[in-house]
Amino acid sequence: MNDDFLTTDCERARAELPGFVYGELAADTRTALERHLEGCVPCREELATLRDTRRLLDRWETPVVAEDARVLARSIAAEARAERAPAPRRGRLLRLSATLAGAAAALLFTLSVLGASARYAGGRFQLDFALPGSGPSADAPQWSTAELDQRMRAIAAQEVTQRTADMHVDQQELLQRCSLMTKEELSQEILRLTQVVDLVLAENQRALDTRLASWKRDADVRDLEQRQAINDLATYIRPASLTNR
Amino acid sequence: MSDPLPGPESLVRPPAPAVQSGEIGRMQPSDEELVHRFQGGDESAFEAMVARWNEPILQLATRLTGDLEEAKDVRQMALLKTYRGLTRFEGRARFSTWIYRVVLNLCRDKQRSEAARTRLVEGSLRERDSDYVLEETGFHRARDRELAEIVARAVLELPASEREVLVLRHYHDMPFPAIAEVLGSPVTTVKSRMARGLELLRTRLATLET
Repeated sequence: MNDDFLTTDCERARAELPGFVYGELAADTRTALERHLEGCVPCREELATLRDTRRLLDRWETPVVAEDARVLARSIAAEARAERAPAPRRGRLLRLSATLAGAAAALLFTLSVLGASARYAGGRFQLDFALPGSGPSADAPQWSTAELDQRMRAIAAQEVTQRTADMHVDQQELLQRCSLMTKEELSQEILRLTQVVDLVLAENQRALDTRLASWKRDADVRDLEQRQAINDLATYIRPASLTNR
Repeated sequence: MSDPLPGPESLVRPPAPAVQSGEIGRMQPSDEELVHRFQGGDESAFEAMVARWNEPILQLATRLTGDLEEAKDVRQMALLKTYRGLTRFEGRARFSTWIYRVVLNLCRDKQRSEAARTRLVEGSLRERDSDYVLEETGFHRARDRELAEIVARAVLELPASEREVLVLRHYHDMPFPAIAEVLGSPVTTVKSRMARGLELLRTRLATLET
């Protein structure tokens, strides 16, 4: 197609400027536009303004949310499976309704301690899971077996304390939401969430066990290497001490 | 106009896959390969898709809704929709086109009324400072923060059709033909929306330094 019009037509040249700024013009269009810009001060000024606008857009950065994609995927899969699960039997519903308020509070507290963040949206609760030890740090730490056990306990305790504190305010809001739901809605939500939690917990426990076992194996190897090094050193030192005697 | 349509592979630049230990140097499977594996019963393929698309979905939804919590809801619904829909995915459109379309539609549903959008913009900028990650170095911190908020507000206050095109082009590096495919609109319409969006932003941001 002939792009000569760009040489003289400012209006049509300006229509191509966004494509020019974002590097999307075909070679012949770009060349024709560049020719136009060489001789047209107003269009060059327009181009400079567009480039400034583009640079300003870079100032808006969105938050980087640290999440374990695997945990997120499993919670989504668990939620989808729970939706497909058969509806709860009436007898169980009735039994639950007697202690609904307490059950809701207990479930929300359990969720918070487990590091699950619960939100209310679109008429139902949604869960984001981040269980202790299931974070993105996949590399095994360089700890001995004794240190490993001690540190895992400390990390778990710290995470649980922090999450319990973080969740306190959210819990108030969520409990308020619970009070606005009918007993049936609430009992169904509790059952659904319990199924989700059970599935995610089981899957994450397996992942956590595997990772812990792997760390323990590494720690055992390091302990063995250290003992070997000490033995080697002892073997090396012994003849010298015998000679001195 | 003589702009050539890029080949199918160049339409959408896939998000950079998260590199995990032991995977360096290994070829990443395409979205379509992952879909195929999932359809064959491989659940880990869905985990790989979430790892790849979680961040782009959240970013797009944040910039279209102006609220991180709303964006997380959209992300949750989009991934659920993906999980449920993958078994029936026939590959008539590329997966990237499909997922962007799902996110756009969910964001539109969230913001049906202009009043709701205005409320979100105000809430997101005034009360949710921590939702915007800004450079926090030296004495420029306050100025940078203010600038970012002004830019965010200007983008969020664009009409939806211009905002969608501008966000996909600028923040997701998506070429005009790919945006046209996602929106189901002609490329010329996409280009004119981009031009109009930039023009509106230019006017609103005219007094700011770059």
